[in-house]
Amino acid sequence: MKAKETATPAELPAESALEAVATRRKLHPREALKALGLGVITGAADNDPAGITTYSVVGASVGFTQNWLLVLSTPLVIFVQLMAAKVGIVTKTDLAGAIRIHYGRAVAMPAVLLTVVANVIGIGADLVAIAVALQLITGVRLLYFVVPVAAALGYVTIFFDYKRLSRYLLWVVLAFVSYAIAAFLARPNWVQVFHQTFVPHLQLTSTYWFGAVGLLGTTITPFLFFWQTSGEIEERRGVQALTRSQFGNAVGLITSNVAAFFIIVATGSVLFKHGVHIATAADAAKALEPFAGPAAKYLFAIGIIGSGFIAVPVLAASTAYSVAGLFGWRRGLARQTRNAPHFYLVLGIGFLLGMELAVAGVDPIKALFYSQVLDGLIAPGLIVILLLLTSSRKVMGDFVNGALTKFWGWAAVAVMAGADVALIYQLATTGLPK
Amino acid sequence: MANSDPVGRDPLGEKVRAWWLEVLSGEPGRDHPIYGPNLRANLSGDVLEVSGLVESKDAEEKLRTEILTLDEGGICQVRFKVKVVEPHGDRGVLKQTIMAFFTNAQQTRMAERYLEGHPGVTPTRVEVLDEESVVPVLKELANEWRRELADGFRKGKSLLLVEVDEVEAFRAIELLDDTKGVEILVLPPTV
Repeated sequence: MKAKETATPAELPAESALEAVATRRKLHPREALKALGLGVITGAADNDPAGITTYSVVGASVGFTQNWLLVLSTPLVIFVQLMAAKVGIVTKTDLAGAIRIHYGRAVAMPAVLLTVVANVIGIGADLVAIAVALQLITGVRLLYFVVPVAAALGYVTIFFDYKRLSRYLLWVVLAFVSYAIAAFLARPNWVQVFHQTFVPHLQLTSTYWFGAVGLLGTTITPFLFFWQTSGEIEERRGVQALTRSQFGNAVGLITSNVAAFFIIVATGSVLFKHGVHIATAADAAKALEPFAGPAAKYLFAIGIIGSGFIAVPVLAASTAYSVAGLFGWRRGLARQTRNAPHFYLVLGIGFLLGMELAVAGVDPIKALFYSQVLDGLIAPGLIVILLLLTSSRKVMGDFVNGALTKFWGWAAVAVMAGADVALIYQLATTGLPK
Repeated sequence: MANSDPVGRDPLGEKVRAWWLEVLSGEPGRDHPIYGPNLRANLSGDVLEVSGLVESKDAEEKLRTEILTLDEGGICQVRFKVKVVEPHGDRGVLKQTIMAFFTNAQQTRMAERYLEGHPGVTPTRVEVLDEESVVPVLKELANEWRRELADGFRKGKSLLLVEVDEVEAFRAIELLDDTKGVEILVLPPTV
């Protein structure tokens, strides 16, 4: 007791885990720069070819009327990804494993199964997108590219350090900075753009709600929940790194949504204004013409190839993590193949199934867009599970969700589930969009 | 006494020897039991090439000694390309309790020795428990984890309780997984 009376606050023993790490959680400027790492990769991977296509389809079909959803989804996705990071850092268990342990296989199985289905469709759609981009550049039929691209990406993911590769590919994705320039050169009505960005606009059409569910699904994506948790485990940082992780994620996700904003403004100004609907990749590339002229298709293709090369391994690895977590198998990209054979087998099967879908002759634009709609339909259920896990004192101890995280988490569930219900209602009353 | 105990006295040493044997028989591809995927070794003809990263000069010396004791495989030359890279990550501020279930008590004791002998983790508490002896520990540590513990005991009959630095917990979980833990529960970090 005496020691307590004379000790300074810093010398007093911490009473809670939160208190003990409080001073270590402060973010220094140098750390802030380092923290961008995983966050930027996650954010950049979020804008995969499917994401870029979805934003382009939204811009071309409903103009700027869904920009407000981008603004609203920014805090939602930041807090959802924060919860996913917390599961990894605090429980040292990946998401599928944590769901299985605390809620049983009956809950974990459907959650993983739905994510795997969405991921495999995503892999197939992204492989098609890369092949379409290569066709755009070379003129050679896209089918000739699917198998070599899938094989090369599978080989790199399984046998090499994928994260090192993705660091270089981030520079290729910078090709999409050209959307921002194209958006300005297209001279949109900025008053209208900002009005529709900050004032919600609702339309009672199935086209609008397909766009809304796809846009939310590509921004708040189920596979990223699993990837984030597993990424934190591979980083091996203590809870004092939560602030760093949160900061890095927030920066990456804001960057990703700003990029999405410019894609919608560019496509809205160039395509929607002239009534052009996106049916092919060449149509989507036209949005870059105000900036790049005839070179637009090359710029678009380079960006799609770069983002696809980042996203496909993330989707495949996230599939393998979730299945291995469900069954309690050894897992991790850092492990060698013989130490985690089931994990790598699932990863390989993910590539094969995705490739199978890609060569099945599906319409590339539709496959890319509808894979994101599927993500939008799955996400609310998974966010509810994330919220329950991270709000449980038994699971998280002193690192349980605060009121702010709970508010934004439940807001994400409400917004996404609301959009899903509106889409189903519109489909039931007015049918599929023409 | 040692002969009556079917569990090896040095499970880590046995794993390391088995790893080298795989390398020398031309079947590399597993993670090294101590250095994990950071260390690679390959025998090409009569040349043994060892490359990768270790965390200290001591570890480098130990590795050199390990190689010197290899008398199988007809090695004529060793190309040693291992770098020492000091770990730059923070140590944890908190501690974390891990409960790993094993099929039987022998496997649990092997995991206990494996963990205690491993230079990558320094547990502050390691205890082998069964369904009866876990009861007082449960009251002390994690009463609300009763359901998960009951599930764990359905999968494995014996439990290893490990308390370790929070950052080292990542490695400890991996090691418990490597020693055939059938279920691993991790309690939230505490002071």
